[in-house]
Amino acid sequence: MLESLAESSLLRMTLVLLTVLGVQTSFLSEVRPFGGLVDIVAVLAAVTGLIAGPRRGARAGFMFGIGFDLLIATPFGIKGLAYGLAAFAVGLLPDEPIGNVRFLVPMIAAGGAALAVLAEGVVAAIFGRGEAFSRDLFAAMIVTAAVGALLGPVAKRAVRWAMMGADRARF
Amino acid sequence: MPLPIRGASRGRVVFVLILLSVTLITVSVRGNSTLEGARSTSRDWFSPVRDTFGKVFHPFENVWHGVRDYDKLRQDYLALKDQVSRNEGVSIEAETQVKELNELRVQFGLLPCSAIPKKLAEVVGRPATNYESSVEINKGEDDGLVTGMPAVTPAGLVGRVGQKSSTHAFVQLLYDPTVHFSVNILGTANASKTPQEILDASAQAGGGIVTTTTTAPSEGSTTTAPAEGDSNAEPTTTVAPTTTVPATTTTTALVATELGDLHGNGRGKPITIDFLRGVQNVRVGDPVVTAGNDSSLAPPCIPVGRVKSVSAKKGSSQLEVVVDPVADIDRLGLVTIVLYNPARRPPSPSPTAPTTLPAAPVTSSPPST
Repeated sequence: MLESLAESSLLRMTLVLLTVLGVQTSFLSEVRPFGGLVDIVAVLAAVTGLIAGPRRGARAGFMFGIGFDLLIATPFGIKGLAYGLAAFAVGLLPDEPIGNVRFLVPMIAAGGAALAVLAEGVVAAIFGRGEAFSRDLFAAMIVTAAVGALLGPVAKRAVRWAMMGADRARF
Repeated sequence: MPLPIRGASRGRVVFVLILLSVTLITVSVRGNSTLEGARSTSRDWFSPVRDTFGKVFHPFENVWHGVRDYDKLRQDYLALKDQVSRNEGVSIEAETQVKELNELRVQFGLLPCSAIPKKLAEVVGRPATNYESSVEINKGEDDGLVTGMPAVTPAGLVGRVGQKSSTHAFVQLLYDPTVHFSVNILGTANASKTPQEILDASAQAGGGIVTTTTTAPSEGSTTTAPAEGDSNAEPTTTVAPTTTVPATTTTTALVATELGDLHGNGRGKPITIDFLRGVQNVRVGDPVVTAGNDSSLAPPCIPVGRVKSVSAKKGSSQLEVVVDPVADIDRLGLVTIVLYNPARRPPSPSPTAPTTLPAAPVTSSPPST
């Protein structure tokens, strides 16, 4: 019973990830407001960290990043590390006020997603892609944070649906 | 003591996460065929999903571009319309010269550029990260693509084939720091005219052929001093018949004067040329084309751009040459992959053949005396 539940949860999470990756690699790669790329996979990772907590969030964020890394041409693992760390950091936030105050979820989704984008730039720069640390990175942080604030509640619903039944969700 | 155990567990998660990621990144940077195989398979599997989402969101993309780019596109349209009308005359001259060049290349045993097979590909994926400098195309290994092959548009070079799968490939754009091309900067043979002067001269000649006639020095002229005692006598000059030599076309005096390494410096940063062999003849506006050395998969005939600026490099005797690419790299819809294999190139010309092609007059006036 538990196994099948976990499997279906994994299936739902994969479905959510594929949908987000589809939008990210088609529409959002064409649209660059102010030169910055909107990263909704980072939003998903941040919200997963918020809902699943630091350990499971880090694991999920890492898997999201690896899934994204499989589709692009940058060094493999950079997004995995960045999203994993961002999800872990968001997961460390205390449960108490977040569950009670509605507007905190968009704010945390915005901040967590921006953190994931920044982490990606830093990790890429450390591994020899110095060009990652540019003006576009900060533009990407801002636009991703803005979109994260808008989509945070939607992402929260999606992640909760994906984790439905599995004893994982904090909220 | 639940808290320390929880903290240690969290720390272990982060430690494992970093260790695993660093290992994967290192393996990826060093190049691993298994990893690349997994990535190419994933891209092939995922491409229908992305294409479906692309179709669904296409109207939204159009709305976005309509709102954001309308004014710029209108300006571009008007500028291009003006440029097309100005280029009509020049294109006739260019076609003539290309034909002559191809004839000369055949004579010298070199493959004409037009004879190199090409594969047209559609750009199906844009850079999905902020620092990625590559686009994805819908052609791959099955179409004969090899890593390193140049990608061009009708305007000129845009990049090279990078990672690839059986049906898709990434084209690393010119501003990618890992993309290197051996290029020639073309200058005038005697460095006496700038490209602008050449263009000006071309315009004065009716926008087409530049013909200059040079009167040969009158070797036979002699000046005879007046005879002694004849104070009224003027010195007499006997002028030999003058000879007018055939006209030469100034534009054909463009020769490869500098060989260097073209590379990008990241998205939004200038594309530069390093390791110039010589430094004396580079001028702003000089054309830049691929050099096509033996180890390169780029043939020696692809236009890259023009020299945008030349400045001294700090702490080095080298020049810093910035190139303005002729192709619009940020707006690629279709690209052509040049399926060039230097191993199949005909043998180089014999050592006795001249290394610099003579200036071939497009039209020549008959010698007159």
